[in-house]
Amino acid sequence: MTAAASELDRDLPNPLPRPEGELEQLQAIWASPKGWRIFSDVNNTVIGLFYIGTAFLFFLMAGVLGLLIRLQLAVPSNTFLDQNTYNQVFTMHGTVMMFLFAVPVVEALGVLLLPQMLAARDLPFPRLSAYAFWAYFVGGMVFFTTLFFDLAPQGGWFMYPPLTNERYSPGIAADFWLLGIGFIEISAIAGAIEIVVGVLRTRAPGMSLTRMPIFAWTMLIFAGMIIFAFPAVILATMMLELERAFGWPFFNPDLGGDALLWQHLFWFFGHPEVYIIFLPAAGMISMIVPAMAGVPLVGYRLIVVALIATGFFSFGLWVHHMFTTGIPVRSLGFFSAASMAVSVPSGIQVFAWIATIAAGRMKMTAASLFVFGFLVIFTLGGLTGVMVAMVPFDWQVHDTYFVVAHFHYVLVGGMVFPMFAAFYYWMPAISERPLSERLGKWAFWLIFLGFNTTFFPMHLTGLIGMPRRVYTYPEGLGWELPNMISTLGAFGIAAGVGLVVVDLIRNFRPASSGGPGNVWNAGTLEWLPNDTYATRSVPRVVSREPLWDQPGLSEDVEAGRYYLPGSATGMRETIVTSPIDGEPQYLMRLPGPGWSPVFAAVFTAAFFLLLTVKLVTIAMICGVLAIVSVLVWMWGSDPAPTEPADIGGGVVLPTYATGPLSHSWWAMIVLMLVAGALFFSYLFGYLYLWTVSPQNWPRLDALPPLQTALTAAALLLVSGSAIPISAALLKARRCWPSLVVATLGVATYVAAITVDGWSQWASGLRPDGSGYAALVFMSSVLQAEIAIPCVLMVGFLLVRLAAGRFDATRRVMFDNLALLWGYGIAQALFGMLLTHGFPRLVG
Amino acid sequence: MTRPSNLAPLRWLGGPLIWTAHFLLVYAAESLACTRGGGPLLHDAITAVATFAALLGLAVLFRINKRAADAPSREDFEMAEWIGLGLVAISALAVVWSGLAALLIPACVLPA
Repeated sequence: MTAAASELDRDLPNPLPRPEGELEQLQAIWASPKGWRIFSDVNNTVIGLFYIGTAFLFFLMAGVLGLLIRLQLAVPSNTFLDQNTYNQVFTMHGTVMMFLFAVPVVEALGVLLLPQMLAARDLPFPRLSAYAFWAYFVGGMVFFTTLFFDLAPQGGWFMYPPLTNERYSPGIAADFWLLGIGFIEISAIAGAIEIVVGVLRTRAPGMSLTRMPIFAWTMLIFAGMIIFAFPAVILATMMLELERAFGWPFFNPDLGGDALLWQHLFWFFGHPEVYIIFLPAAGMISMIVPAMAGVPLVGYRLIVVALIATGFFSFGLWVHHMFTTGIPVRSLGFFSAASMAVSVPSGIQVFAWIATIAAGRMKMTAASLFVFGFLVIFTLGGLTGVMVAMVPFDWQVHDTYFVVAHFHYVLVGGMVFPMFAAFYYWMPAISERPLSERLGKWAFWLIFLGFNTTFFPMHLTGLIGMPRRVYTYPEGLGWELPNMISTLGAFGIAAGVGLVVVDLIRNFRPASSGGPGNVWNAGTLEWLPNDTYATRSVPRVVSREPLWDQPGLSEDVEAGRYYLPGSATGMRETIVTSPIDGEPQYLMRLPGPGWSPVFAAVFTAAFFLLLTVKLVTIAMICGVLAIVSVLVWMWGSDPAPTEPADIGGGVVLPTYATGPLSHSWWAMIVLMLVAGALFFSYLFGYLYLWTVSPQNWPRLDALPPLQTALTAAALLLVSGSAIPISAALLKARRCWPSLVVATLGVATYVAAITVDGWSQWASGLRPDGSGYAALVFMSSVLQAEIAIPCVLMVGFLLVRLAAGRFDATRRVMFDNLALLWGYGIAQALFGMLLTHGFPRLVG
Repeated sequence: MTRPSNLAPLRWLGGPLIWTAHFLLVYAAESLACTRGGGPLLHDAITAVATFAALLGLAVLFRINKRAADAPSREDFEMAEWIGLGLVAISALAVVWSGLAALLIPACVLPA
């Protein structure tokens, strides 16, 4: 051993040589199941690839639908597709691209790359990732097949009522959209919870927030935006489905509803959705540009500022999709200004990339070409975005092909080009061989030229008056030539995408133990030698580009000189670190392969889809089976504490944590934020309908007696007081009394919300009577949505206690119950204040 | 050398949070003032007061964050403080921009 190596040995956490059999044990523990059992795997390297493959498949299928649209519009008065089929095709094109491709593929890249980038062995909830993937896969595939049975929805990807209500969209096609998409959004939220906790709690030691790669920042913001944006559309889909199925008139103006409420809720999701898609793509660009230019990213902190600001500001733009709906002019100006303001942080990022390119020597690879393509196309889309942010201009081009051109420039430029760049850039990290540079460059030029040939003329087509969503048009309007050019261009895109597919077939071979390695000489951790267990040992990092700044890092990590070079507990495990400075806090044990997430996902999908086709009994059975599968899955969770584990360098970590230290606690907090966002959307809907239909709010004498409301509130307070009592009993190691109190407390909570709902019913209110009544009972639905899991959780804890799987130390599930239960009580009290107090206030 | 407290992220996100509060208040107040009484003058007053209060809050936050950024600390922690400052600055820009738009355009007027 040289003197230098010896010096290094003293500094690094673990000495060499490593004990015999340590690596083999690590490999055995993290080995993926063989053959068809691979589908039971939960490891991010497997689930991530499944996820990306499925999302890319949806991209291809939605792309074929796009070609069908272009073929139909190539010439005037075309009969290639009839009107009914055309409506289904364009609705599915948009829906699949937005819900089944764009968001999932980004989540998939996060699942695949984040653990490697953060030097975690896996994300903190591998089975949740598996559940999210399988739910998406099954639900998405079934949803797509509706096209082949003439059952696909026809209302456009945003499904505006009244077009999509029962009267104008009879049958079950719209229900497929509402239930199918609603449940795929739940899958997206599951993935977002995983990503938030993963990024904040499973980073490499020493990786403080400002040493995180930009991609991790973007994924964190992406997941945060999903948490706050998706509940709005989940609420909207629930409301429209309740209106269609049971006549709850949220959107029916004849009964005090308002169709514009749908637009508000949809776009409160829909506009952030654009940035939900774009920000991770921007993160990919921020990873690729420095590697290709060979210099650190210029303006890291400004980019972080821009990303966070974009994440916030994008929630203030939803009305710019509604400029033509008769909104007061001050609001129009206000949202117009906000729409322009968001271009400032977007511009910061573009200038930072240009500066980075200028500061280094950019290698002209296929990935680089796609980056340049992104810069050109996205910037053009951003410029037309500023144009449509101007209200007078928007009034002229609203619902024309100008808008189609604009959002394709934004979405394809801002997301599809970065995705292809990511394919060519990261393939050497996950495949035995990289993709072909030659084919990649051909593919780029075909896609780039094809894209501009397709969509640039659409600006003109729109300006000369062609509206969106028409299945054909007559001769003589001047639309023939631009449409024909667009159609030809679309086949250019298809040829380019086809080349990428050929390249993937020829060269992509999943590598279980890393690919060719750091072929780009990049600086971030995903380029360390990898296997199914991620890196052999977990490095301590001291900068943002550890591979550039820490010489010999790859060799030391691979040799096992850093933390946790084997398995300390004999199980799959990863280091949990503190959220701000990334210091090790405890060692989390992770689950291995299992079928329960797969079954849970399949039965959840079956529940929603069977409800759509009105097979209620079978749907209910599937719902019960989904819950049983989740309970089986949870049975193995929360393993008993073991002896603290030595991960090297004198760092000895506990193997169990409770309260705010626990990753599980963090996940529950994030889930509560989702529930809070759902309730906030409901609150918006309630106040919105009140402003448009105040005559439907009841007189004081029509309200339920105040005493009933006060009784329900008192019950909630009693239930809430049981939480600290139950916790104190548990702390005193009196487990059975603790759970008895918890059971009684949860029962009281359920009784309270039942009394509340019943009091409304007993007052004569019926949910199908008016928009107001529907909203009152919607509050009960939202309360039940929290109470039912609390009932299941307390019952599950009782069984675990009986089985010896729960005690005063092993109490993570109790902590989670306490959090959700407390949140549920707070939400119920607020809901009652709204449904009982507000009418009295304004009556 | 100081290390950010666990609540520091709230301080760093204070700028966008103030922007959010200002945005929601100005938007919701127009609906309420114009449909439920009060009229344009009330909304003018609410917008002016909310914008002033938001800018005041941002100024205070800027001062707090600046003090933290100037304190001796590890380079990466210092960078986080500067990110907080940047967020305050960009939020102030957005508050002024949206607030001015609201103040310059008449309230409670439907498009022709």
